[in-house]
Amino acid sequence: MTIFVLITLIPALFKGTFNLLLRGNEYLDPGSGSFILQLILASLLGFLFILKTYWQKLLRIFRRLFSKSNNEQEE
Amino acid sequence: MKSNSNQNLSKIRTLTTPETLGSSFRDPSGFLFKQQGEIFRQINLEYRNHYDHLMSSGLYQYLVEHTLMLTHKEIEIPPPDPITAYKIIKPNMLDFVSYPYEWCFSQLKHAALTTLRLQRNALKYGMCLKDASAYNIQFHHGKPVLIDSLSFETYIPGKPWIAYRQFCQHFLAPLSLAAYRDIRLFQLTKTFIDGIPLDLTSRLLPNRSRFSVGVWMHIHLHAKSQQKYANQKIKSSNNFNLNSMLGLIDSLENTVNGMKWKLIGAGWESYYHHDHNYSPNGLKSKEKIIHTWLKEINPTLVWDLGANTGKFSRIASQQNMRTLAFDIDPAAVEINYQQCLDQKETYLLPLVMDFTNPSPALGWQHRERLSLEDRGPANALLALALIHHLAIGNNVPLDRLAQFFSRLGKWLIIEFIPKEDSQVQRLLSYREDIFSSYNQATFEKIFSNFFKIHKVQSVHESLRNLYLMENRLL
Repeated sequence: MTIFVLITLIPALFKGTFNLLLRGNEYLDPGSGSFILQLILASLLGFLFILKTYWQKLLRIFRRLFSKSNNEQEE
Repeated sequence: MKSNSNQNLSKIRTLTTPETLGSSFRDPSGFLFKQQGEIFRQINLEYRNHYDHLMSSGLYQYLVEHTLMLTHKEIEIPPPDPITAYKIIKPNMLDFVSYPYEWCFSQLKHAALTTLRLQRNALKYGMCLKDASAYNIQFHHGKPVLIDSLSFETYIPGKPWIAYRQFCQHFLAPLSLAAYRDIRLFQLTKTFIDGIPLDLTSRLLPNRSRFSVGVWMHIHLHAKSQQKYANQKIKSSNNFNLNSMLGLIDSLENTVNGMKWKLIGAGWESYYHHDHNYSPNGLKSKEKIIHTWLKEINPTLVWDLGANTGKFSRIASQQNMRTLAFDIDPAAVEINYQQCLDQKETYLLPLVMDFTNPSPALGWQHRERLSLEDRGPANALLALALIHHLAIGNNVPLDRLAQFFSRLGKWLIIEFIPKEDSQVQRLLSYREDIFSSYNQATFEKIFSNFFKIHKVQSVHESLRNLYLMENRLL
């Protein structure tokens, strides 16, 4: 139950904060809004990408280790 | 006499003078032009450094080797605009230029993923995609490739992706509308040729789309950001480092990969099992006739009008004839495209087309996107089990049908289905029969005005007849 509440509440709070930051209703100028959104998201996107890269590296190391030990067992 | 010589002079001029293509005017880096029926691209001096970087860094080589980009070669001909010219290149010719509003769901999805792959690889070579237009991707020998050699610029660290908005409007917007709402919303790309506005997309999408982090971030939040920061000056910032850029590409890739259009459950299942009223012998005889006639006329480019899932188109494509399989039904085109991928077919390109309202000329001066007719003619047309839909389903008189086909291709293999056929009876079951001239004799008489009828053969165990005709005008 607690996990369910966390899963539904955290994204909602996260989205709410961004919606507050971005509230406005001016004439559309698609260029600047797209640039600024990228700048706002820069750290988050960069952080997630680094996390993913390290996670994949870690997985690769584990896979190699396991395949080695399997090979040794087979030998 | 004088007017004749003037006409001849103007003909010679149009043959030899370069003509700038109507779609090529936005980018100051260069432009496309046509000369003696061939397409060339002038690269302007202001793009010199970027072009040299593309060619010398190894990026061009990499993209060509991995079939991500159309090849080109540098050639020495006088440039159309010598003051601004740096080089002239000749891109490899495409068989046919298709547009995103003619693609099925998976075709647009694959074009989107190709664009992101191009951007990721460009970054490895110190370049960046400055243009993420869906029109820059074309299906060449079965694969989506970049056709615009001027799409890259030298990467400046810290700068956000200039083509992010365009990517979201051209790819994410139609894909998400199809995945979360309805595939028919793809047709909005015909109205908004620079991509579907994100505020409109956000309003059209159901609330459940916000549960996808990618759709929420790149469509809903993006639309809000556009409203919030409208007309705001952008201060230069070095905040957006390479990891942020790669993170953005990764996030967009995950979002595109997460988009699914399910045929089953969306009301398209009935189209899946194409019902026809041929006996096994009838079907075999129809295939044999088409196969023999195609072999005789040996066309290089075949358009199958109303191809369904491409059963008969494959008779042409399997004989190495470049074939376009048009159908009104996005589900049939999707199935056809999936089959092309599974069988690694390179001679067949399935496309969505409604022949009661074929793709028009669009954009600035009606010249940015060509109409279907302007992209022809084909060497051969297949119009199988089609004309009763147009003549009875859409009330098009036979002479107008003949005239339309005569503008699209040289050879015509056409099937006439009489009123007694159950498929025509089905069309007439809910309406009054006002089609007194819809009969075989009138059909032959009217089509003879535009075509020379070479052969007629009946399909075994059916009331249908196949005709091989040659255009009198082309």
